[in-house]
Amino acid sequence: MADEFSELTFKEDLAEVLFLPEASHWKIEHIGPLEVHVALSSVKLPADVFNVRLYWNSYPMEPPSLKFRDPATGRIDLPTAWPEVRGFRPASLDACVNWCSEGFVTHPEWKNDPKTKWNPQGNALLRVLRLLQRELDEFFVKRFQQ
Amino acid sequence: MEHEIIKVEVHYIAAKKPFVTEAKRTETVGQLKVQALKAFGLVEEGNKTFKLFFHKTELQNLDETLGQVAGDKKELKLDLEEFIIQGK
Repeated sequence: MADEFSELTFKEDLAEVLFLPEASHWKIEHIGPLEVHVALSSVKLPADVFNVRLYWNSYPMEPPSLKFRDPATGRIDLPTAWPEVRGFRPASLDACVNWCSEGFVTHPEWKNDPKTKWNPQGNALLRVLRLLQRELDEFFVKRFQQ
Repeated sequence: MEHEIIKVEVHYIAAKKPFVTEAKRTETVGQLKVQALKAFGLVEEGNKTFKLFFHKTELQNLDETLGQVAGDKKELKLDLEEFIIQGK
């Protein structure tokens, strides 16, 4: 269960994000206290929309879990729901980056290095959404095919 | 000096608004970075550092002046970036 500080901070940060002009590129659904589903796409292929689930256990002190989901079924166990960008591993259903919790599971050494550890400063939701959008815009190859 | 003052915008990925200031062209990149970090409430510690980028090029020389970076432009838009890593 999310603590009160996390819930309030998340609400505030989500409100900030929704107010930004760039949020028009994202369809954001507030699912749970610390969970959003976001539809977004790459500028390289706008018609191919991806749906990501971001879920925090503690906001903003910990990085979010990042999973791509099939919007029709809600399943998060489909590699084809994932885009091919840097550090993403659709076949393993995870992203190996220092801005989601799964990355720190694969690379626990990142937690102990001030350079690579999760940075909770600022609007953490905005950070993750912008990083995700940047990856999609600059490094998108294609939707993963099995 | 013509256009002695330059309008500077520094964008940070986790901030909804950029840090905006008017600076002298003789001000250095390092001086601007200190102001930007303070404005965003960021602290550098150990090897946790932030870097300024201009058009995706890192401004490595902190002694360079904003005038040198901007050239004949009256405005300067920079990005303050933190370290992002991808594994396999």
